[in-house]
Amino acid sequence: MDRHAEFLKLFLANQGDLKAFLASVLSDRAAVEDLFQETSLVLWQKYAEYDPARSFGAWARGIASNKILQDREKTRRLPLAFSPTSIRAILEAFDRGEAEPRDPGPLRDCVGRLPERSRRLLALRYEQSLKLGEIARQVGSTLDAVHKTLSRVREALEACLRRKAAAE
Amino acid sequence: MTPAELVARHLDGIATPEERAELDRLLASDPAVADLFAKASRRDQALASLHQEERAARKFRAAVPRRRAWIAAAAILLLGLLYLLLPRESVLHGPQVLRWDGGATTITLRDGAEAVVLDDDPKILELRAGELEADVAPQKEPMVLRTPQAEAVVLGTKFTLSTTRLEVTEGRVKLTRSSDGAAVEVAAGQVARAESMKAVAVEVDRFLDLRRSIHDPRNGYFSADGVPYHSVETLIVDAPDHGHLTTSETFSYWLWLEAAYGRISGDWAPFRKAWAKMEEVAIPSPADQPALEAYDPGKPMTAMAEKERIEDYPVGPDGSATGVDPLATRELHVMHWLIDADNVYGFGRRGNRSARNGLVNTFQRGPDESVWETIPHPSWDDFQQGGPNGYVDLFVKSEARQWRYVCAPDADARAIQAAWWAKAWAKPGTELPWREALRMGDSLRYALQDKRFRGEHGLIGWAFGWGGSLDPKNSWAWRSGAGQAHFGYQNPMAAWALAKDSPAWARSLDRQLALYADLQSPEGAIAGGYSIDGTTLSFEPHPVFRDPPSNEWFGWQAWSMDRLAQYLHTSGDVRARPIVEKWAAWAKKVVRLRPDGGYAIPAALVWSGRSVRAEGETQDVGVAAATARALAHWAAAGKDVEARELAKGLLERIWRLHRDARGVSNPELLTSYRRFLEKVQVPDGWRGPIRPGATFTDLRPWFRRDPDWKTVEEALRRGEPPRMRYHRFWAQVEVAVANAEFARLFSP
Repeated sequence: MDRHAEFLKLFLANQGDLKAFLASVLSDRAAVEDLFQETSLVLWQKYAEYDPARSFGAWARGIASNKILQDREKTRRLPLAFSPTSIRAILEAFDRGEAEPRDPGPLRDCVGRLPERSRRLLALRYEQSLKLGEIARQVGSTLDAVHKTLSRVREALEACLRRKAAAE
Repeated sequence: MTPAELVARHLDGIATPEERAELDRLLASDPAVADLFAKASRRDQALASLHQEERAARKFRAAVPRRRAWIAAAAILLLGLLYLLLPRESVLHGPQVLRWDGGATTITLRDGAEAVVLDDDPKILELRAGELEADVAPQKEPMVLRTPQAEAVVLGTKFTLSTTRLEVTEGRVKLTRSSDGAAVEVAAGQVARAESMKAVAVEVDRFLDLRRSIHDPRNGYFSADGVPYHSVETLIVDAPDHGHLTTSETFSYWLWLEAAYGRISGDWAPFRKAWAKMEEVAIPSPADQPALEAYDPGKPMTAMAEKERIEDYPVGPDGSATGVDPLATRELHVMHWLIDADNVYGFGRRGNRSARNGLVNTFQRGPDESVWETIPHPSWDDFQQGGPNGYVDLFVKSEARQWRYVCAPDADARAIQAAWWAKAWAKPGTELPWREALRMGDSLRYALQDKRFRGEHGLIGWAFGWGGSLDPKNSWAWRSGAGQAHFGYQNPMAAWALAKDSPAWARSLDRQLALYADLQSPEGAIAGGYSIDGTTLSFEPHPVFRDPPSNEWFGWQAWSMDRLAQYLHTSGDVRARPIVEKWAAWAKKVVRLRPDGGYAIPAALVWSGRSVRAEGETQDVGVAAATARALAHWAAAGKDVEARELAKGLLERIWRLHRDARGVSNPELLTSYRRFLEKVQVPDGWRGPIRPGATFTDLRPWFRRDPDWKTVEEALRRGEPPRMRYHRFWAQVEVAVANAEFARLFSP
């Protein structure tokens, strides 16, 4: 496999997980997109330095978190959600944990089994990326009620995924 | 508040500054909270990715202007690369359902499909691989579905789209080919393909699609010599006892396929090619039937005894008188019924043991002999193989080297029928083998004769034979007529086609119509047939063979009544009408479209006298298609909407349930396969290579090396019937031609 193809393969496999990390430490979605693209460029430029024995995901997170912490020390452009200590803790937790499976099939199935009302709520939150306040306005409810319902829907999804995993 | 709740509020974007500070403190001090946070964050992102797949395209384009100039300047090449892999390109994979317009518009991506939503308003979707099903509510602006080859513009309709094919169920869709801008309007019930850009009836598209599969060399329907096999699979025991044998029936189906193709395409070369191959391989050449000059029509044969039990063979002459052969044609221009296309038996042809396409035989020993009890032998019995007297003394008390062939007349009649349709469908002046078909019809008159030439019964008999000496010093030849008639072999269409040129076939047409009237049961089905003595007919519930009972199979009903219905529709002969009408009324009761989307054909017919009861259910694709064809011809003749809808439903469901990569097939449970290890009866004292106690499989050692043997062996060890899938040539053609005929009758 040539270098481009190799990079593409690894990058495609890990891009979702990289975004998850960025979204958990930055408090603004546009910033997540911008930093994701900047990081992608750096990953490509530095790909020669990547050690295939290491996890690509961990390497990518390392580069992204360096950027974040550098920014913190210098320009402070990035809207960080937490203190540098907590960001390091989150980084370590990501390295310890397991990335979401590449096959979204089970999650898709579980979403498909939800009642229509729950699926509508998920679509507003994750497809249209609306803030909870906007969702509350649209469905004629309160912020807290929407959050509670969403939490219950996510719990139902977790339970469904556990059942699926157990069935295998 | 629990740490989990804090995490959830943070991820939902509603944490207060105090709550966020609390979470920050917990994350920094407790790795378990950090773990919990990482996990929730990853799941949140997975949900976002899942949901944003469809909308990613628009978002990316909106993001482009915001991107900072220095990035683009820094690595314009890399951007080109990334452009291909960023979320804009998030390809949706089937199976999944995309919804718009509050659920009124749905696109179902089938398993294996790959698509990208390029826009939501107006809706633009690109299908890159596989197939999708669309149900589109009325649109203000047309919805566009692109494939690499074409573009479909939609205002509100139901259809199925793959990268190369569009099928419309409701409404109309305009399809435009990308390469040259050629466009076609596709209406409900029609299909268009990017390669032809013609809108045709869905049944015509199925016909062409299945014919392509049959002729695709990777699927293995034809031998290296271009001979169609009985079935793609080799381990099969029907009437032929190996899949790569072929039969006169297979050739006749090939002719049907190419006749239907000629009508649809205007190309008659494939029909001519099939006819020529049939003449080359299946019709014994003059060299295959020497010593004909010794044939004496005044004494056509020495009558041999006919015994019921296999143990009573070989038989000798029974001394009974024979009549005079009134036909006395020279070479017989009909097919021998069984041909070893791959030389599996190793008998070769005309004494050349390595030649392929040898003429062979199995059945010889009365009505109780099932295929499992037969002994395969060469039709050219020159004593190079077998015992000191070759194989001949297994069956008759004779020590003479000889050749002998058997014609199964329904196949030749089907070939004539196909040739007649070819002539009817082709433009005048098209070169077609109709004269050859007439010649075949001439020879086939032996089927209308009593076995010992004591009269012309006029029915299409089960079989007739002819043979002669291979000893130049002692020349002789014989012929026989046919002593039994099964209703399933009758072909009034072929008789009618030949009647203009032949008084014998004109008489046969009347005799056949009388047979149907006489044998129709009170329920509507047609009962077995007759054994024939001169011109005297005696009713037989199961003529010719009893293991299994010969009129148990529903396929005879479909095959024979299709010909009668076709005759009624084509000729308008009112004598056929009440018979077909009554039969169709019965068929509509016993053939069902099931509520679960399946269909059911009777697995067996149980007869008591001339009264019938349908038993069990099967989905046999060949029989179901033949039934659909019979119903369609009746529906066209009798304006029977119910029969038409049943036929249409059968064809749709066969296709939906049983179309596979090679053709059409349904799983079958082969209960008879327990007989693989059954012993074959060999006469005491026979001096040949078959040892006492030999089984069906001992005589056919190649089965133990067959790739499917394991399946059979394991099932038998468990005491269960093996479950097999077969691609029989005739069944493929039956499905293809039933579709072509349905389209000819109902969407011309």
